[in-house]
Amino acid sequence: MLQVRDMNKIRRAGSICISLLLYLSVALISPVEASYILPYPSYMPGSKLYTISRTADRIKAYWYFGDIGKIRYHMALSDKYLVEAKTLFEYKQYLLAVDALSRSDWEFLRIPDNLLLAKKHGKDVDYLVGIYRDEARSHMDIINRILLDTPETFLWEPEKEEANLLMIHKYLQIAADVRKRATQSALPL
Amino acid sequence: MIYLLFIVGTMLISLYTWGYVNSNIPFVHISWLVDFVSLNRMLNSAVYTGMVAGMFAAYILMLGFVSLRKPGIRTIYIYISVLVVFLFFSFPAFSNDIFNYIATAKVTYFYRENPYLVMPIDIPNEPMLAFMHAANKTALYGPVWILMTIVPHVVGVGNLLTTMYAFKLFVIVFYVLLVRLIWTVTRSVRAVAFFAFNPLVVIDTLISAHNDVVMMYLALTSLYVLKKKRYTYAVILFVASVLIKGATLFLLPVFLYVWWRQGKGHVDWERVWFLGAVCMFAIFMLSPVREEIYSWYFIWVLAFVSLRKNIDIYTAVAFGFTFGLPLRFVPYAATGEWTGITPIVKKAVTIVFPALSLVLYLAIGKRKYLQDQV
Repeated sequence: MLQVRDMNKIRRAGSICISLLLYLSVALISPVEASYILPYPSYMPGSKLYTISRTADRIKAYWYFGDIGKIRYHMALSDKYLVEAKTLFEYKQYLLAVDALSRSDWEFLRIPDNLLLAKKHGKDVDYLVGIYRDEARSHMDIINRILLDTPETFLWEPEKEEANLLMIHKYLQIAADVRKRATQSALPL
Repeated sequence: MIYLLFIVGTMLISLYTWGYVNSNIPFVHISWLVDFVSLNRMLNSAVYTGMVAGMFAAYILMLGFVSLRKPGIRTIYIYISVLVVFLFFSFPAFSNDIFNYIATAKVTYFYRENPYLVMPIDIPNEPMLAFMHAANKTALYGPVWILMTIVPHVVGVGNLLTTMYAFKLFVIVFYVLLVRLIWTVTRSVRAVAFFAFNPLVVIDTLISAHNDVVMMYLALTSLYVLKKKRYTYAVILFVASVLIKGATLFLLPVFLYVWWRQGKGHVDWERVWFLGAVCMFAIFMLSPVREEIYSWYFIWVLAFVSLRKNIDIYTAVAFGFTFGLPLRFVPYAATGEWTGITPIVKKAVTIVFPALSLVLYLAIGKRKYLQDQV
């Protein structure tokens, strides 16, 4: 009799373990489906080539004319600056990181306008809307990871200037919201 | 009689090309002709070979006529006019490049996108994608060509057929200008006939409307103005030529040679044309490094060979290529495939005919030499 009760306990424990494993495999192992690939970090602030790289980015705006060209331009820069921000957050260069993040947001926000314009000009850009959403998901994945590894706020105290309180999580939340809107709306258009 | 045969032959070639209209192209289909080309592949490849052989025979006869009867340039211009008028109405049967030109111009001027970044396939609702062969490529040509194509693009008023004819006309204008330039430089009816009636030039320029004549016209004009020591114009024209297709960059040593010889006080222009032919032959032979040898690339060499006074071993090799290169299309016409036996046959016809021509030239040359000795 006692053995049967023990067996039932073992079975119950086993089923709980299996359920837990299944839950964990779904919750933890199942990754965010982002086919979108972000670039490697480019030149970082402090590098002699950083200014040249930023100037080249500005000049490239003229080369990437046209609606589709501009969409690609803003996508590329949004990616580039987000990767730059991520690297800077990792090295605890919060002031620079926040600046790079805001630049990435600014570039990302330019994309829907150009998607709209392309549609208005009779170009079928549905595939680009798909890429835009993949990009947003991929960015959100990165932003969420940064959120886990950074303090909520940080007091930046330069030697000769006034101290600056950086609301890191607030900025990251804004960046995430911008991307979230892109994935949620039926079309940003 | 010969004149009538010439007209009828040209008309038949022009008609035959309409058999190659792709079913997705929104043009009028001459169904019996399209069926013949697509359903009787072996017979059609024989017809195509016959057409090339016929054109080559007519070319030899024309050169013989020029050499024996010594007609004036006006007579030659009349024959050229016949070619131009009838072949203008032909369909660009043996190459799809004209549709790439049209699509690139459309991406630039209609969609207002950078053609070096945006491919036609990036605009999925573009109707030309239904029949284009290089929709997944950004612009293949230089900025000067893309700037120039605004003319036929605007003239075409958005209609595919009129745009195709506008592009053909645009290329043909440069063919006529190039022929005129050859006359201006050489004052030789033989030189004009050598280039203008060459089957390879006729097929790839008047039928397929390749832009190589545009590049070569600018390059030769550049050398012509260099001869007149107008250096600024020469540089501008040379750069413009390079920015059409890039191949004429290989002429830079020739330009430097002319500039150097002008400094010394004398330029041997016969040597300049020879060096030009050699340089363009070098880039022609190097084309497989980039992609493959295309028949129309030989126009680069022919333009210079036609300027030379001497008929020698190089002219003989040029004859061989002239006959062999258009035949690269035969295995495709026969099988409808670019794979399988096609690449081997393409290589074979490219090599065999110049080699045969060379052997023939050497044999005749030796016999002539022996006769002279006797």
